Amino acid sequence: MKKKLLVLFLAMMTVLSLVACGKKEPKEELTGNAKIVSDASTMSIEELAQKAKEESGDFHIYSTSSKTDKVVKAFAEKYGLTGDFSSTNVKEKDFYATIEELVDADNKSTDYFVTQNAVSVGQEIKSGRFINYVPVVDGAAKSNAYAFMYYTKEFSVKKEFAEQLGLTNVWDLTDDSFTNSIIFKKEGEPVNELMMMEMTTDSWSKSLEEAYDAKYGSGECAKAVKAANVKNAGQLFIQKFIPKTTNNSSEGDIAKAIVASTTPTIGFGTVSKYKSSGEPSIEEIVRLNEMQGFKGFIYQFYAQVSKSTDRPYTAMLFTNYLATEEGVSGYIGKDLGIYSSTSTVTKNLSALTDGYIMENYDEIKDIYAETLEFIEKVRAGN
Amino acid sequence: MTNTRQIRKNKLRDFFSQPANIILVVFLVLLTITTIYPIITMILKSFTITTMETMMFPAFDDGDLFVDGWIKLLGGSDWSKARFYTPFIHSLVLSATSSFFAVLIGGIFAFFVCRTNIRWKGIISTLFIFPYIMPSWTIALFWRDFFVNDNIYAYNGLFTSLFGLKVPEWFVFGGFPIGLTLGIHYAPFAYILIGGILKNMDANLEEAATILKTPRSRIITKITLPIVLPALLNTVLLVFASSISAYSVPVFLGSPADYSTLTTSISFFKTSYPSLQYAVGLVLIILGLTILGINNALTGKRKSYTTVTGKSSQISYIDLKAGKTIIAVIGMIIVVFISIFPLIVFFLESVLVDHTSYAVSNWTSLYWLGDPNNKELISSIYMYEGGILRMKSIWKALGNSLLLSVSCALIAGTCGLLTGYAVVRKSNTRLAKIVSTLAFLPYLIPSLAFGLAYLAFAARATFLMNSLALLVLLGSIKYMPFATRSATGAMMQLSAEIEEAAILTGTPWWKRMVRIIFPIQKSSFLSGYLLPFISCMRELSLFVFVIADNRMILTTFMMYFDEKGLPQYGNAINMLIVLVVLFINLSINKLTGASIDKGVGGN
Repeated sequence: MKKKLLVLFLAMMTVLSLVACGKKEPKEELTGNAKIVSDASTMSIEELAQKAKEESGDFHIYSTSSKTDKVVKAFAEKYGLTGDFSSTNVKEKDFYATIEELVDADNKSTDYFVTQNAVSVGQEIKSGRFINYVPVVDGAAKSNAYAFMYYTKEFSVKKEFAEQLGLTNVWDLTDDSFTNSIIFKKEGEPVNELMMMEMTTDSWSKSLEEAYDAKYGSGECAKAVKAANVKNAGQLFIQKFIPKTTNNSSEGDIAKAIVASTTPTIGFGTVSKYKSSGEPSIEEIVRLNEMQGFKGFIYQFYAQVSKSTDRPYTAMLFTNYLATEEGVSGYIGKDLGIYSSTSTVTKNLSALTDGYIMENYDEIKDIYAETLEFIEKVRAGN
Repeated sequence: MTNTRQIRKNKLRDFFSQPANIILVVFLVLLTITTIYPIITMILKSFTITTMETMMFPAFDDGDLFVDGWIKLLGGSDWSKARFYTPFIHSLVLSATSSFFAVLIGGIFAFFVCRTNIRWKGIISTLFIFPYIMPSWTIALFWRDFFVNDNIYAYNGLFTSLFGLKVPEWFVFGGFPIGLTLGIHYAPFAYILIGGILKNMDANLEEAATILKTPRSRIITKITLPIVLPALLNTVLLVFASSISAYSVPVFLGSPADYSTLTTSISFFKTSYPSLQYAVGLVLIILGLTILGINNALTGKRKSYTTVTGKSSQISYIDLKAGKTIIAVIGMIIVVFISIFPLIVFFLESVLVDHTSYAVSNWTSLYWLGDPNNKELISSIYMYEGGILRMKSIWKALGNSLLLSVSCALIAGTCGLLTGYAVVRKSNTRLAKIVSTLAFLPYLIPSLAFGLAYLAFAARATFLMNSLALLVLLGSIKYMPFATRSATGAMMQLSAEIEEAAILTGTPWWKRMVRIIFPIQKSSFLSGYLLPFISCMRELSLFVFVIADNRMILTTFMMYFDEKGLPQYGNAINMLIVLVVLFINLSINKLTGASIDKGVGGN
């Protein structure tokens, strides 16, 4: 009897295994807003505007930028859309936990997202909470995670110290003389982690290796990488750079500290924190964006439709609005180092971004866990 | 059978015919939902993997239950040491430091004000309360900006500019300044608790010792100190429980020196390990409950000190002779430094274009009164939306803060009053003991952890997500212990005979409450309303992770400006909060006689 049962069990398992092997993954059918967005991918702006006018209810955005509220109100006025148009400003570290709860609860007041962080956005698109829509505006970036705006981060130093320091190579920043002289938001700024992750990718690691060899001699980088027992020049840079830095929780504060500095101090942060007419003045600092290795870092602002929105056409129309000069101007204003990703708005986009490390989900998604562990280890002083 | 059922029915009817029993049952249900349920959801969240965590734990799908997060947190690896064990130790150390400074500063001031003939008692006592009204991190920012120097950071602060001296890094960043600034913030709390005991203690023992020519130092160490010891230990534990939850002070004074605490770890986990923020929150709750246990044990021991009870029939002041002026001057210098000087600096920094230069040419009123529609000024001076008094969003946040604080005060005050009444009236029943413990529990749960519990709770009741109603609920429950404690104390002083007399004349319960009980103990009950109001107006840790929109209330708006590097606005809002709280405290004091110290002291 026992034997019979065993044979029967094995036979069933074999059949089930065969069924499982032969079973093809069904092609995922788009439903709900994902289908609406997909079907509307070729609709003109006029058609979208018409459809948006037919929609009712409020349109609410969750955004990591405080400027979104004004922009979305201007958008509603331009297209004569009815309902309350508003935005909630959420810090990036709180952003994803908040919106995940809202979308999962099918909250209809969660219509749209303006946010940063390539990895988080990539994960949310993968989970289906974010629906990517590519605008039809001329020159708009075509991407599977549409971003309408680029923000530049650079190193900077007060003018009177720039010549004295003579920085020409990013590895100069790892010299012992810079211990505690570099202010860097190493905690609470996930996009800075993404920059460090990008450094460890093949292309940026190569660039850093060349810069190292230019400073210390040919072949020296490979020796240093081996001696430090790290993966590549990118990891070596992180290992040497992080201990030299002092953390500050605010990049606005970093910019002010650099302008007020009474001792040679270097800051890293968003260029837009400096003002062309105002404090802290861009006139008082030198942007260190010509160093060998990398010029700085560019992160993106993504515009994504919410899975739970009840105004999908309004959402798509808004993405198109952000792709225009008028739409993005509400964010850029007179600020420095911010660019529209639309090539017809920012004419020399490739020249402006060349030499800067740029976040890219596809490049880092597979090394994310491993590199984050490495960064945390270095931060912890291990 | 019918008879038994009838007896039960009668018993039930009899039970519910007493208002105190109805109150206890209602609050048993309410407090279970508002205190226990959020903690349960928090436990569940700590075992549920999130989207971002699937990148770190690829074997799991979004929403799966998993224990790997907890294992990673507690496993003892280098990562676990850096992100959990070291911050854990830091949190304990800084809370102990904070308790030490709070008791030292508050205790010394309480002693001189309550037990000696020191000069200017009134003004010292009033000013000493100020640091408790200010949000704690503003004292931290003051400390940083005052003592910073270019040996440890980019520029020189006021202290170095004035005296040319440079303090070492540990004095500005790290565990010591965090503990000290939190200690200064909580010193008024210690002052009021210890002062309450000193003020009411019977002076006969000291008098007897004086007659027997016992040296003053011996009287203090052998009589006064033992008498206040229970209050002292109680204060240490309460300050410890509050300090362990501090978030913003470690952000400003800890992070530049890589000094992490459990609260900053929670902030770190929010991005890459969201489930672990709940895990650390639970650890904070366990710490809170441990403190509750120790507190209960000490309260038990306190019975052995009952040689001193009731109010003193006579007050004996130690005659400091010539020292009464000298000590008063020293006291005033300290009080001015910790209470008035920060306010002056906050005001100055709210009018400075460049926050490191105090030259008059650098002053402007634009951050207070600037035109919000002037685009030129927006891009050159404000970097925001104009002067705070002309900014719609600030008025909205002030309105929300006031609405939140008034609502919390009304709900917490009323619920606390009712609970206090019912607990005292039914003090010997198990139900009263359970409700009393449940009502006190939120006090021992660190604010940040309690906020996280409500965040998890709101995730299941999404209509509450990002709403002011959630904050009102959270604040009301968190501050209810203040009111319960105040009401319990007041009710214990009130003889039950007064109410019984009214019952005999057939006066309904609500009339007894409104016409008899409340008017007699009005001052204590009103303190139970005032303290939640003040605490709510300057609260950050409780709300910081629950609010999605930083501009919803004044304290989160202020933190938003400080983090954005716009200290002028942050300082202006701080001034606004302090002025509003002082105005309301003063108004209520003038109108009703209630004041913050009665609520805190709970006597």
